[in-house]
Amino acid sequence: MKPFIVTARMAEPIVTYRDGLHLDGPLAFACFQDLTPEARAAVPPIESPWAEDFDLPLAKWEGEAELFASTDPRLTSDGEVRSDEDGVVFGTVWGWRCSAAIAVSGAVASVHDQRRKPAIEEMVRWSDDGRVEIGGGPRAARNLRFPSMVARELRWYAVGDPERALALLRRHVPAIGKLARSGNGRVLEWTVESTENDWSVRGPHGEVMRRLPARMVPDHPSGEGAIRAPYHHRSRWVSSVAPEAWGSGC
Amino acid sequence: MDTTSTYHGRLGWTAVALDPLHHGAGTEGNTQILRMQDVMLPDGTVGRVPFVSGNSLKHVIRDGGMQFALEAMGVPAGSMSKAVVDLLFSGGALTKSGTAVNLAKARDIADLFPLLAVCGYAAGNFMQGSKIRVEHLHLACEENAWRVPASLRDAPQLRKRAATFRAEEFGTRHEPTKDPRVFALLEAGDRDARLRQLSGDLADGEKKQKSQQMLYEFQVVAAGSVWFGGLTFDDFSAMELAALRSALERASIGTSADGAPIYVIGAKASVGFGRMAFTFDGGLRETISPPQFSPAESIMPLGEKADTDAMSAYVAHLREHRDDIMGALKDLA
Repeated sequence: MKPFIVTARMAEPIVTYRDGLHLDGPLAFACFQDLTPEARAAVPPIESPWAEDFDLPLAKWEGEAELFASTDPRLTSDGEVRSDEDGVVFGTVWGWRCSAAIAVSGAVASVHDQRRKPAIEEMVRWSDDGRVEIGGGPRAARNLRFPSMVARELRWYAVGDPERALALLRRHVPAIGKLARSGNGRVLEWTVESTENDWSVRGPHGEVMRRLPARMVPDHPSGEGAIRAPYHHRSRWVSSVAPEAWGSGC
Repeated sequence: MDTTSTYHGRLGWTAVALDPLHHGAGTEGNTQILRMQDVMLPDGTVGRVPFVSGNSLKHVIRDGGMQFALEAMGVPAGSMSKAVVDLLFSGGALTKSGTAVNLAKARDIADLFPLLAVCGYAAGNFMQGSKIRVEHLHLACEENAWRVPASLRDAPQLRKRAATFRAEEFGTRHEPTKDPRVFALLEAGDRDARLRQLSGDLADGEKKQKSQQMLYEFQVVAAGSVWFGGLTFDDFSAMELAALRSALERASIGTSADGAPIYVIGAKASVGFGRMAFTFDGGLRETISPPQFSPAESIMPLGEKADTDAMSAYVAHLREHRDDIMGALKDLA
Protein backbone atom coordinates (compact mmCIF):
# COMPACT_ATOMS: atom_id res chain seq x y z
CA MET A 1 0.00 0.00 0.00
CA LYS A 2 1.48 3.34 -1.08
CA PRO A 3 0.28 6.88 -1.76
CA PHE A 4 -0.66 7.67 -5.35
CA ILE A 5 -2.51 10.21 -7.47
CA VAL A 6 -5.27 9.30 -9.92
CA THR A 7 -6.09 11.70 -12.75
CA ALA A 8 -9.08 11.64 -15.08
CA ARG A 9 -8.96 13.71 -18.27
CA MET A 10 -12.58 14.57 -18.90
CA ALA A 11 -14.44 14.67 -22.22
CA GLU A 12 -17.81 15.82 -20.88
CA PRO A 13 -19.28 17.79 -17.96
CA ILE A 14 -20.00 15.72 -14.87
CA VAL A 15 -23.56 15.57 -13.57
CA THR A 16 -23.25 15.48 -9.81
CA TYR A 17 -25.02 16.55 -6.66
CA ARG A 18 -21.72 17.98 -5.36
CA ASP A 19 -21.17 15.03 -3.05
CA GLY A 20 -17.44 15.23 -3.66
CA LEU A 21 -17.07 12.45 -6.23
CA HIS A 22 -14.86 10.41 -3.93
CA LEU A 23 -12.64 7.89 -5.73
CA ASP A 24 -13.99 4.88 -3.85
CA GLY A 25 -17.37 5.46 -5.59
CA PRO A 26 -16.19 4.58 -9.12
CA LEU A 27 -13.77 1.98 -7.73
CA ALA A 28 -16.60 0.17 -5.92
CA PHE A 29 -18.61 0.20 -9.16
CA ALA A 30 -15.57 -1.21 -10.99
CA CYS A 31 -15.06 -3.94 -8.38
CA PHE A 32 -18.69 -4.99 -8.78
CA GLN A 33 -18.34 -5.06 -12.57
CA ASP A 34 -15.15 -7.10 -12.21
CA LEU A 35 -16.98 -9.95 -10.47
CA THR A 36 -17.95 -13.01 -12.47
CA PRO A 37 -21.56 -12.95 -13.71
CA GLU A 38 -22.44 -15.57 -11.07
CA ALA A 39 -20.85 -13.56 -8.25
CA ARG A 40 -22.59 -10.41 -9.47
CA ALA A 41 -25.95 -12.16 -9.49
CA ALA A 42 -25.41 -13.12 -5.84
CA VAL A 43 -24.92 -9.49 -4.72
CA PRO A 44 -28.14 -8.10 -3.21
CA PRO A 45 -29.64 -5.32 -5.36
CA ILE A 46 -28.69 -1.75 -4.54
CA GLU A 47 -32.29 -1.05 -3.50
CA SER A 48 -31.74 -3.27 -0.43
CA PRO A 49 -31.40 -1.61 3.00
CA TRP A 50 -27.71 -2.58 3.11
CA ALA A 51 -25.26 -2.31 0.18
CA GLU A 52 -22.27 -4.64 -0.09
CA ASP A 53 -18.70 -3.46 0.47
CA PHE A 54 -16.24 -4.76 -2.10
CA ASP A 55 -12.53 -5.46 -1.90
CA LEU A 56 -11.21 -2.12 -3.15
CA PRO A 57 -7.51 -1.57 -3.90
CA LEU A 58 -7.32 1.07 -1.17
CA ALA A 59 -6.13 1.25 2.43
CA LYS A 60 -8.67 2.08 5.15
CA TRP A 61 -9.08 4.84 7.74
CA GLU A 62 -10.97 4.39 11.00
CA GLY A 63 -12.57 6.79 13.46
CA GLU A 64 -15.44 7.39 15.83
CA ALA A 65 -18.70 8.70 14.42
CA GLU A 66 -22.09 9.78 15.69
CA LEU A 67 -24.58 7.42 14.05
CA PHE A 68 -28.33 7.10 13.66
CA ALA A 69 -30.41 4.70 15.71
CA SER A 70 -31.18 2.88 12.47
CA THR A 71 -27.51 2.54 11.43
CA ASP A 72 -26.64 -0.96 10.23
CA PRO A 73 -23.87 -2.38 12.47
CA ARG A 74 -22.02 -3.44 9.32
CA LEU A 75 -21.04 0.21 8.88
CA THR A 76 -18.75 -0.05 11.92
CA SER A 77 -15.36 -1.73 12.20
CA ASP A 78 -16.37 -3.96 15.10
CA GLY A 79 -20.00 -4.55 14.15
CA GLU A 80 -21.25 -2.57 17.16
CA VAL A 81 -23.53 0.45 17.44
CA ARG A 82 -23.39 1.89 20.98
CA SER A 83 -25.12 4.74 22.79
CA ASP A 84 -23.84 6.96 25.60
CA GLU A 85 -25.66 8.11 28.73
CA ASP A 86 -27.32 10.96 26.79
CA GLY A 87 -28.71 8.50 24.26
CA VAL A 88 -26.32 9.60 21.49
CA VAL A 89 -25.68 6.69 19.16
CA PHE A 90 -22.07 6.22 18.09
CA GLY A 91 -19.55 3.67 16.86
CA THR A 92 -16.18 3.21 15.22
CA VAL A 93 -16.57 3.41 11.48
CA TRP A 94 -14.15 2.94 8.62
CA GLY A 95 -13.73 4.24 5.11
CA TRP A 96 -11.33 4.10 2.18
CA ARG A 97 -8.19 6.21 2.06
CA CYS A 98 -8.97 8.36 -0.95
CA SER A 99 -9.85 12.00 -1.41
CA ALA A 100 -12.82 13.69 -3.01
CA ALA A 101 -12.22 14.94 -6.56
CA ILE A 102 -10.11 18.03 -7.09
CA ALA A 103 -10.52 20.03 -10.30
CA VAL A 104 -6.92 20.59 -11.33
CA SER A 105 -7.38 23.69 -13.45
CA GLY A 106 -10.59 24.86 -11.87
CA ALA A 107 -14.19 23.93 -12.44
CA VAL A 108 -17.26 25.80 -13.58
CA ALA A 109 -20.74 25.10 -12.31
CA SER A 110 -23.27 24.39 -15.03
CA VAL A 111 -26.61 22.63 -15.48
CA HIS A 112 -27.70 19.66 -17.53
CA ASP A 113 -31.26 19.28 -18.72
CA GLN A 114 -32.59 15.80 -19.32
CA ARG A 115 -35.85 15.68 -21.21
CA ARG A 116 -38.51 13.13 -20.61
CA LYS A 117 -40.93 13.28 -23.47
CA PRO A 118 -44.13 11.26 -23.10
CA ALA A 119 -44.62 8.73 -25.88
CA ILE A 120 -47.85 10.33 -27.11
CA GLU A 121 -47.51 9.41 -30.78
CA GLU A 122 -46.64 5.84 -29.87
CA MET A 123 -49.59 5.65 -27.46
CA VAL A 124 -51.91 6.85 -30.22
CA ARG A 125 -50.66 4.02 -32.43
CA TRP A 126 -50.06 1.13 -30.07
CA SER A 127 -52.28 1.60 -27.03
CA ASP A 128 -55.98 1.07 -26.57
CA ASP A 129 -56.39 3.72 -23.88
CA GLY A 130 -58.49 6.81 -24.42
CA ARG A 131 -56.55 9.39 -22.41
CA VAL A 132 -53.12 9.97 -20.98
CA GLU A 133 -52.25 12.46 -18.24
CA ILE A 134 -49.05 14.33 -19.13
CA GLY A 135 -49.39 17.17 -16.63
CA GLY A 136 -48.39 15.02 -13.68
CA GLY A 137 -47.80 11.46 -12.53
CA PRO A 138 -45.44 8.89 -13.97
CA ARG A 139 -45.97 9.95 -17.57
CA ALA A 140 -45.57 13.69 -17.06
CA ALA A 141 -43.72 15.62 -19.74
CA ARG A 142 -40.78 17.19 -17.98
CA ASN A 143 -37.33 18.64 -18.23
CA LEU A 144 -35.24 17.34 -15.36
CA ARG A 145 -32.54 19.83 -14.43
CA PHE A 146 -29.36 18.51 -12.83
CA PRO A 147 -26.37 20.39 -11.50
CA SER A 148 -23.21 19.69 -13.46
CA MET A 149 -19.57 20.60 -13.29
CA VAL A 150 -17.31 21.44 -16.22
CA ALA A 151 -13.68 20.52 -15.60
CA ARG A 152 -10.88 19.41 -17.90
CA GLU A 153 -9.07 17.28 -15.36
CA LEU A 154 -9.95 15.75 -12.01
CA ARG A 155 -7.43 14.46 -9.49
CA TRP A 156 -7.69 12.22 -6.45
CA TYR A 157 -5.16 11.39 -3.75
CA ALA A 158 -5.23 7.82 -2.46
CA VAL A 159 -3.32 5.15 -0.60
CA GLY A 160 -3.42 1.58 -1.83
CA ASP A 161 -2.48 -0.48 -4.85
CA PRO A 162 -2.15 1.95 -7.78
CA GLU A 163 -1.74 -0.71 -10.48
CA ARG A 164 -4.93 -2.52 -9.54
CA ALA A 165 -6.80 0.77 -9.13
CA LEU A 166 -5.76 1.89 -12.62
CA ALA A 167 -6.66 -1.46 -14.17
CA LEU A 168 -10.12 -1.38 -12.59
CA LEU A 169 -10.80 2.22 -13.62
CA ARG A 170 -9.66 1.70 -17.21
CA ARG A 171 -11.54 -1.56 -17.52
CA HIS A 172 -14.89 -0.59 -16.05
CA VAL A 173 -15.26 3.18 -15.60
CA PRO A 174 -15.64 5.01 -18.91
CA ALA A 175 -17.63 7.77 -17.21
CA ILE A 176 -18.29 9.21 -13.76
CA GLY A 177 -21.20 10.97 -12.10
CA LYS A 178 -24.88 10.68 -12.84
CA LEU A 179 -26.57 10.12 -16.23
CA ALA A 180 -23.42 8.53 -17.63
CA ARG A 181 -25.49 6.32 -19.93
CA SER A 182 -26.72 9.33 -21.82
CA GLY A 183 -23.37 10.89 -22.53
CA ASN A 184 -22.33 12.69 -19.36
CA GLY A 185 -19.11 12.50 -17.33
CA ARG A 186 -17.16 10.64 -20.03
CA VAL A 187 -13.50 10.13 -19.19
CA LEU A 188 -10.97 10.39 -22.02
CA GLU A 189 -8.13 8.88 -20.06
CA TRP A 190 -7.32 7.54 -16.59
CA THR A 191 -3.73 7.82 -15.36
CA VAL A 192 -1.95 7.06 -12.10
CA GLU A 193 1.28 8.45 -10.71
CA SER A 194 3.07 7.77 -7.47
CA THR A 195 3.61 10.47 -4.87
CA GLU A 196 5.31 10.78 -1.52
CA ASN A 197 2.42 12.78 -0.08
CA ASP A 198 -0.45 10.99 1.60
CA TRP A 199 -3.19 13.59 1.14
CA SER A 200 -5.94 11.03 0.91
CA VAL A 201 -7.69 12.11 4.11
CA ARG A 202 -6.12 15.40 5.21
CA GLY A 203 -4.31 17.79 2.85
CA PRO A 204 -0.93 19.52 3.13
CA HIS A 205 -2.34 22.21 5.41
CA GLY A 206 -4.76 19.99 7.29
CA GLU A 207 -7.62 20.44 4.80
CA VAL A 208 -10.39 17.87 4.96
CA MET A 209 -9.81 16.02 1.68
CA ARG A 210 -12.80 13.70 1.92
CA ARG A 211 -16.03 13.36 3.88
CA LEU A 212 -15.18 12.35 7.43
CA PRO A 213 -17.18 11.72 10.60
CA ALA A 214 -17.74 14.97 12.48
CA ARG A 215 -16.11 13.53 15.58
CA MET A 216 -12.81 13.12 13.65
CA VAL A 217 -12.74 16.83 12.72
CA PRO A 218 -14.54 18.56 15.61
CA ASP A 219 -13.48 22.07 14.57
CA HIS A 220 -15.44 21.96 11.29
CA PRO A 221 -19.11 22.64 10.56
CA SER A 222 -20.87 19.34 10.11
CA GLY A 223 -23.93 17.92 8.41
CA GLU A 224 -25.01 14.51 7.26
CA GLY A 225 -23.52 12.50 4.46
CA ALA A 226 -22.01 9.21 3.37
CA ILE A 227 -18.49 8.28 4.44
CA ARG A 228 -17.84 5.47 2.00
CA ALA A 229 -19.23 4.05 -1.22
CA PRO A 230 -21.95 3.82 -2.36
CA TYR A 231 -22.39 7.47 -1.46
CA HIS A 232 -26.04 7.72 -2.46
CA HIS A 233 -26.97 4.86 -0.13
CA ARG A 234 -28.57 5.90 3.19
CA SER A 235 -26.79 3.08 5.00
CA ARG A 236 -23.50 4.99 4.64
CA TRP A 237 -24.75 8.25 6.15
CA VAL A 238 -23.43 9.56 9.46
CA SER A 239 -22.98 12.95 11.09
CA SER A 240 -20.04 14.15 9.03
CA VAL A 241 -17.96 16.96 7.55
CA ALA A 242 -17.87 17.69 3.80
CA PRO A 243 -14.54 17.79 1.94
CA GLU A 244 -12.94 21.17 1.39
CA ALA A 245 -11.03 20.27 -1.74
CA TRP A 246 -13.71 20.13 -4.46
CA GLY A 247 -12.95 22.65 -7.16
CA SER A 248 -10.13 24.27 -5.20
CA GLY A 249 -7.46 23.44 -7.74
CA CYS A 250 -4.97 22.60 -4.98
CA MET B 1 -25.44 -17.90 -33.63
CA ASP B 2 -23.27 -18.14 -30.53
CA THR B 3 -25.65 -17.79 -27.59
CA THR B 4 -23.09 -18.16 -24.80
CA SER B 5 -20.56 -15.38 -25.53
CA THR B 6 -20.62 -12.02 -23.85
CA TYR B 7 -19.78 -9.00 -25.96
CA HIS B 8 -18.23 -5.68 -24.96
CA GLY B 9 -17.64 -3.11 -27.61
CA ARG B 10 -17.92 0.34 -29.01
CA LEU B 11 -19.72 1.69 -32.03
CA GLY B 12 -18.26 5.06 -32.98
CA TRP B 13 -19.64 7.39 -35.58
CA THR B 14 -18.96 10.53 -37.51
CA ALA B 15 -21.89 12.23 -39.17
CA VAL B 16 -22.36 14.90 -41.80
CA ALA B 17 -25.42 17.10 -41.57
CA LEU B 18 -27.30 16.88 -44.86
CA ASP B 19 -29.79 19.50 -43.67
CA PRO B 20 -29.46 22.22 -41.06
CA LEU B 21 -29.82 20.72 -37.59
CA HIS B 22 -31.99 22.07 -34.76
CA HIS B 23 -31.75 20.52 -31.29
CA GLY B 24 -33.54 23.05 -29.17
CA ALA B 25 -33.35 24.28 -25.61
CA GLY B 26 -36.41 26.47 -25.32
CA THR B 27 -37.28 29.90 -26.67
CA GLU B 28 -35.82 33.35 -26.16
CA GLY B 29 -38.06 36.08 -27.51
CA ASN B 30 -39.41 34.69 -30.76
CA THR B 31 -36.38 32.48 -31.44
CA GLN B 32 -35.97 28.85 -30.54
CA ILE B 33 -32.40 28.51 -29.35
CA LEU B 34 -29.92 25.69 -29.78
CA ARG B 35 -28.94 23.43 -26.95
CA MET B 36 -25.41 24.35 -25.85
CA GLN B 37 -22.79 22.70 -23.68
CA ASP B 38 -20.24 24.54 -21.57
CA VAL B 39 -16.70 23.50 -22.47
CA MET B 40 -13.60 24.42 -20.55
CA LEU B 41 -11.02 25.54 -23.08
CA PRO B 42 -7.27 24.93 -22.73
CA ASP B 43 -6.69 28.46 -21.42
CA GLY B 44 -9.19 27.91 -18.60
CA THR B 45 -11.96 30.03 -20.11
CA VAL B 46 -15.34 28.53 -20.83
CA GLY B 47 -16.78 28.26 -24.33
CA ARG B 48 -20.22 27.16 -25.43
CA VAL B 49 -20.76 24.67 -28.21
CA PRO B 50 -23.97 23.30 -29.72
CA PHE B 51 -24.48 19.58 -29.17
CA VAL B 52 -27.10 16.86 -29.45
CA SER B 53 -27.69 15.10 -26.14
CA GLY B 54 -26.93 11.42 -25.72
CA ASN B 55 -30.42 11.17 -24.27
CA SER B 56 -31.91 12.30 -27.57
CA LEU B 57 -29.82 9.82 -29.57
CA LYS B 58 -30.68 7.06 -27.14
CA HIS B 59 -34.32 7.80 -27.78
CA VAL B 60 -33.73 7.38 -31.53
CA ILE B 61 -32.24 3.95 -30.79
CA ARG B 62 -34.98 2.94 -28.36
CA ASP B 63 -37.69 4.06 -30.73
CA GLY B 64 -36.17 2.25 -33.73
CA GLY B 65 -35.64 -0.94 -31.77
CA MET B 66 -39.14 -1.00 -30.33
CA GLN B 67 -40.76 -0.34 -33.71
CA PHE B 68 -38.69 -3.16 -35.20
CA ALA B 69 -39.61 -5.62 -32.44
CA LEU B 70 -43.33 -4.82 -32.48
CA GLU B 71 -43.46 -5.09 -36.26
CA ALA B 72 -41.47 -8.35 -36.21
CA MET B 73 -43.91 -9.80 -33.69
CA GLY B 74 -46.88 -8.56 -35.68
CA VAL B 75 -48.36 -6.74 -32.70
CA PRO B 76 -51.53 -5.00 -33.91
CA ALA B 77 -51.97 -1.27 -33.38
CA GLY B 78 -54.19 -0.33 -30.44
CA SER B 79 -53.54 -3.55 -28.54
CA MET B 80 -51.39 -2.41 -25.60
CA SER B 81 -52.03 -0.38 -22.49
CA LYS B 82 -50.45 3.04 -22.22
CA ALA B 83 -48.32 1.76 -19.33
CA VAL B 84 -46.75 -0.83 -21.65
CA VAL B 85 -46.26 1.75 -24.41
CA ASP B 86 -44.64 4.07 -21.87
CA LEU B 87 -42.36 1.24 -20.68
CA LEU B 88 -41.29 0.42 -24.22
CA PHE B 89 -40.86 3.89 -25.71
CA SER B 90 -40.02 6.07 -22.69
CA GLY B 91 -38.44 3.55 -20.32
CA GLY B 92 -41.34 3.38 -17.85
CA ALA B 93 -41.41 4.80 -14.33
CA LEU B 94 -41.03 3.67 -10.74
CA THR B 95 -44.55 3.12 -9.52
CA LYS B 96 -44.12 1.15 -6.29
CA SER B 97 -42.10 1.49 -3.12
CA GLY B 98 -40.59 -1.34 -1.14
CA THR B 99 -37.16 -2.86 -0.86
CA ALA B 100 -37.74 -6.39 -2.13
CA VAL B 101 -36.91 -6.59 -5.81
CA ASN B 102 -38.11 -9.45 -7.97
CA LEU B 103 -34.83 -10.38 -9.63
CA ALA B 104 -36.22 -13.43 -11.37
CA LYS B 105 -38.79 -11.25 -13.12
CA ALA B 106 -36.07 -8.80 -14.22
CA ARG B 107 -33.94 -11.66 -15.59
CA ASP B 108 -36.90 -13.22 -17.38
CA ILE B 109 -37.87 -10.04 -19.18
CA ALA B 110 -34.25 -9.36 -20.17
CA ASP B 111 -34.03 -12.86 -21.69
CA LEU B 112 -37.40 -12.66 -23.39
CA PHE B 113 -37.18 -9.13 -24.71
CA PRO B 114 -33.49 -8.18 -25.00
CA LEU B 115 -34.05 -4.61 -26.16
CA LEU B 116 -35.42 -3.65 -22.72
CA ALA B 117 -32.10 -4.61 -21.13
CA VAL B 118 -30.20 -2.81 -23.90
CA CYS B 119 -32.05 0.48 -23.35
CA GLY B 120 -32.89 0.15 -19.64
CA TYR B 121 -36.23 0.65 -17.94
CA ALA B 122 -38.00 1.34 -14.67
CA ALA B 123 -41.02 -0.64 -13.50
CA GLY B 124 -42.57 -1.35 -10.11
CA ASN B 125 -39.82 -0.66 -7.56
CA PHE B 126 -36.98 -1.66 -9.86
CA MET B 127 -34.74 0.31 -12.16
CA GLN B 128 -32.64 -1.53 -14.72
CA GLY B 129 -29.80 0.62 -16.06
CA SER B 130 -29.25 0.42 -19.79
CA LYS B 131 -26.37 -1.64 -21.15
CA ILE B 132 -25.45 1.05 -23.64
CA ARG B 133 -23.75 4.34 -22.93
CA VAL B 134 -24.67 6.77 -25.67
CA GLU B 135 -22.29 9.70 -25.98
CA HIS B 136 -23.38 13.23 -26.76
CA LEU B 137 -23.04 14.11 -30.44
CA HIS B 138 -20.46 16.88 -30.78
CA LEU B 139 -19.67 19.36 -33.52
CA ALA B 140 -16.23 19.20 -35.12
CA CYS B 141 -14.93 22.69 -34.31
CA GLU B 142 -12.02 24.42 -32.63
CA GLU B 143 -13.51 24.27 -29.14
CA ASN B 144 -13.96 20.49 -29.45
CA ALA B 145 -10.60 19.76 -31.10
CA TRP B 146 -9.19 18.16 -27.93
CA ARG B 147 -11.82 15.42 -27.88
CA VAL B 148 -12.33 14.48 -31.53
CA PRO B 149 -11.66 10.87 -32.58
CA ALA B 150 -8.46 10.07 -34.47
CA SER B 151 -10.30 10.04 -37.80
CA LEU B 152 -11.10 13.77 -37.45
CA ARG B 153 -7.79 15.04 -36.09
CA ASP B 154 -6.87 16.70 -39.38
CA ALA B 155 -10.36 17.89 -40.24
CA PRO B 156 -10.31 21.50 -41.51
CA GLN B 157 -13.42 22.20 -39.43
CA LEU B 158 -11.24 22.09 -36.31
CA ARG B 159 -9.68 25.41 -37.32
CA LYS B 160 -13.03 27.18 -37.05
CA ARG B 161 -14.99 28.23 -33.97
CA ALA B 162 -18.41 26.71 -33.35
CA ALA B 163 -20.08 30.04 -34.07
CA THR B 164 -18.93 29.72 -37.70
CA PHE B 165 -21.30 26.81 -38.17
CA ARG B 166 -24.33 28.40 -36.55
CA ALA B 167 -27.10 30.00 -38.54
CA GLU B 168 -30.67 31.12 -38.14
CA GLU B 169 -33.67 29.89 -40.06
CA PHE B 170 -37.23 31.06 -40.10
CA GLY B 171 -40.58 29.65 -40.93
CA THR B 172 -43.85 31.31 -41.87
CA ARG B 173 -47.24 30.36 -40.60
CA HIS B 174 -49.84 31.63 -43.02
CA GLU B 175 -53.28 33.00 -42.26
CA PRO B 176 -55.17 30.31 -44.17
CA THR B 177 -58.22 32.42 -45.02
CA LYS B 178 -56.12 34.71 -47.17
CA ASP B 179 -56.43 32.01 -49.80
CA PRO B 180 -59.82 32.60 -51.51
CA ARG B 181 -60.43 28.84 -51.77
CA VAL B 182 -60.00 28.46 -48.02
CA PHE B 183 -62.01 31.63 -47.38
CA ALA B 184 -64.89 30.07 -49.31
CA LEU B 185 -64.94 27.16 -46.83
CA LEU B 186 -65.85 29.42 -43.89
CA GLU B 187 -69.36 29.53 -42.49
CA ALA B 188 -71.35 32.54 -43.77
CA GLY B 189 -71.22 34.36 -40.41
CA ASP B 190 -67.46 34.01 -40.12
CA ARG B 191 -67.02 35.04 -43.74
CA ASP B 192 -69.03 38.22 -43.20
CA ALA B 193 -67.18 39.05 -40.00
CA ARG B 194 -63.85 38.58 -41.79
CA LEU B 195 -64.97 40.90 -44.60
CA ARG B 196 -66.19 43.52 -42.08
CA GLN B 197 -62.81 43.32 -40.33
CA LEU B 198 -60.89 43.78 -43.58
CA SER B 199 -63.00 46.79 -44.58
CA GLY B 200 -62.85 48.33 -41.09
CA ASP B 201 -66.62 48.01 -40.58
CA LEU B 202 -66.69 46.00 -37.36
CA ALA B 203 -69.79 46.65 -35.27
CA ASP B 204 -69.40 48.29 -31.85
CA GLY B 205 -68.11 45.68 -29.40
CA GLU B 206 -67.50 43.11 -32.12
CA LYS B 207 -64.30 41.19 -31.43
CA LYS B 208 -61.48 41.36 -33.92
CA GLN B 209 -60.42 37.94 -35.20
CA LYS B 210 -56.80 37.18 -34.57
CA SER B 211 -54.70 36.51 -37.65
CA GLN B 212 -52.71 33.27 -37.63
CA GLN B 213 -50.02 34.87 -39.79
CA MET B 214 -46.64 34.82 -38.06
CA LEU B 215 -42.92 34.38 -38.53
CA TYR B 216 -40.98 32.08 -36.26
CA GLU B 217 -37.22 31.82 -36.01
CA PHE B 218 -34.90 29.14 -34.81
CA GLN B 219 -31.17 28.64 -34.52
CA VAL B 220 -29.55 25.82 -36.48
CA VAL B 221 -26.16 24.30 -37.12
CA ALA B 222 -25.41 24.49 -40.83
CA ALA B 223 -25.77 21.67 -43.33
CA GLY B 224 -22.36 20.22 -44.09
CA SER B 225 -21.18 20.46 -40.50
CA VAL B 226 -19.36 17.38 -39.23
CA TRP B 227 -20.20 15.67 -35.94
CA PHE B 228 -18.81 12.83 -33.86
CA GLY B 229 -19.97 10.51 -31.08
CA GLY B 230 -20.65 6.87 -30.40
CA LEU B 231 -21.86 4.34 -27.90
CA THR B 232 -20.25 1.64 -25.80
CA PHE B 233 -21.88 -1.54 -24.58
CA ASP B 234 -21.00 -4.10 -21.95
CA ASP B 235 -22.12 -7.60 -21.13
CA PHE B 236 -24.21 -8.00 -24.25
CA SER B 237 -25.62 -11.37 -25.22
CA ALA B 238 -25.77 -12.24 -28.90
CA MET B 239 -29.51 -11.43 -28.83
CA GLU B 240 -28.85 -8.02 -27.30
CA LEU B 241 -26.29 -7.30 -29.98
CA ALA B 242 -28.85 -8.20 -32.64
CA ALA B 243 -31.45 -6.07 -30.85
CA LEU B 244 -29.13 -3.04 -30.98
CA ARG B 245 -28.46 -3.63 -34.67
CA SER B 246 -32.18 -3.96 -35.34
CA ALA B 247 -32.71 -0.59 -33.64
CA LEU B 248 -30.06 1.14 -35.72
CA GLU B 249 -31.35 -0.40 -38.92
CA ARG B 250 -35.00 0.44 -38.25
CA ALA B 251 -34.20 4.01 -37.20
CA SER B 252 -32.38 4.74 -40.46
CA ILE B 253 -34.52 6.43 -43.11
CA GLY B 254 -32.31 5.45 -46.06
CA THR B 255 -28.80 5.83 -47.35
CA SER B 256 -26.85 8.68 -48.86
CA ALA B 257 -25.37 8.60 -52.37
CA ASP B 258 -22.21 6.99 -50.99
CA GLY B 259 -24.14 4.39 -49.01
CA ALA B 260 -24.00 5.97 -45.53
CA PRO B 261 -27.14 5.35 -43.46
CA ILE B 262 -29.18 8.48 -42.85
CA TYR B 263 -30.80 9.25 -39.51
CA VAL B 264 -33.07 12.10 -38.54
CA ILE B 265 -31.59 13.90 -35.55
CA GLY B 266 -33.11 16.78 -33.61
CA ALA B 267 -36.31 18.63 -34.34
CA LYS B 268 -38.31 19.88 -37.33
CA ALA B 269 -37.76 16.73 -39.36
CA SER B 270 -41.19 17.16 -40.94
CA VAL B 271 -40.12 20.44 -42.54
CA GLY B 272 -36.75 19.53 -43.95
CA PHE B 273 -34.32 19.59 -41.05
CA GLY B 274 -32.08 17.11 -39.28
CA ARG B 275 -31.02 14.47 -41.82
CA MET B 276 -27.52 13.27 -41.05
CA ALA B 277 -25.39 10.69 -42.91
CA PHE B 278 -23.55 8.46 -40.45
CA THR B 279 -20.31 6.58 -40.91
CA PHE B 280 -19.78 3.84 -38.33
CA ASP B 281 -16.64 2.29 -37.03
CA GLY B 282 -17.40 -0.56 -34.74
CA GLY B 283 -15.30 -2.88 -32.71
CA LEU B 284 -15.48 -5.57 -30.10
CA ARG B 285 -13.29 -5.12 -27.07
CA GLU B 286 -10.11 -7.15 -27.35
CA THR B 287 -8.15 -6.23 -24.28
CA ILE B 288 -9.51 -4.84 -21.11
CA SER B 289 -6.74 -2.72 -19.72
CA PRO B 290 -6.68 -0.28 -21.39
CA PRO B 291 -9.62 -1.10 -23.67
CA GLN B 292 -8.72 -1.58 -27.33
CA PHE B 293 -11.23 -2.42 -30.01
CA SER B 294 -10.77 -4.57 -33.07
CA PRO B 295 -12.88 -3.86 -36.14
CA ALA B 296 -15.92 -6.12 -36.27
CA GLU B 297 -18.16 -5.93 -39.32
CA SER B 298 -20.64 -8.20 -37.62
CA ILE B 299 -21.88 -5.49 -35.27
CA MET B 300 -22.45 -2.88 -37.98
CA PRO B 301 -25.95 -2.04 -39.03
CA LEU B 302 -26.70 -2.07 -42.74
CA GLY B 303 -23.28 -3.36 -43.80
CA GLU B 304 -22.79 -5.76 -46.66
CA LYS B 305 -21.03 -8.10 -44.28
CA ALA B 306 -23.65 -7.64 -41.55
CA ASP B 307 -24.41 -10.86 -39.73
CA THR B 308 -27.81 -11.72 -41.18
CA ASP B 309 -27.93 -15.07 -39.34
CA ALA B 310 -27.87 -13.23 -36.02
CA MET B 311 -30.67 -10.91 -37.13
CA SER B 312 -32.74 -13.83 -38.37
CA ALA B 313 -32.30 -15.58 -35.05
CA TYR B 314 -33.42 -12.43 -33.24
CA VAL B 315 -36.55 -12.10 -35.36
CA ALA B 316 -37.30 -15.81 -34.92
CA HIS B 317 -36.96 -15.42 -31.15
CA LEU B 318 -39.34 -12.44 -31.09
CA ARG B 319 -41.93 -14.30 -33.15
CA GLU B 320 -41.65 -17.55 -31.25
CA HIS B 321 -42.03 -15.87 -27.85
CA ARG B 322 -44.46 -13.17 -28.85
CA ASP B 323 -47.21 -14.15 -26.39
CA ASP B 324 -44.75 -14.64 -23.53
CA ILE B 325 -43.17 -11.25 -24.25
CA MET B 326 -46.45 -9.38 -24.41
CA GLY B 327 -47.65 -11.11 -21.22
CA ALA B 328 -44.42 -10.32 -19.38
CA LEU B 329 -44.51 -6.68 -20.49
CA LYS B 330 -48.08 -6.36 -19.24
CA ASP B 331 -47.07 -7.80 -15.86
CA LEU B 332 -44.03 -5.58 -15.65
CA ALA B 333 -45.77 -2.31 -16.50
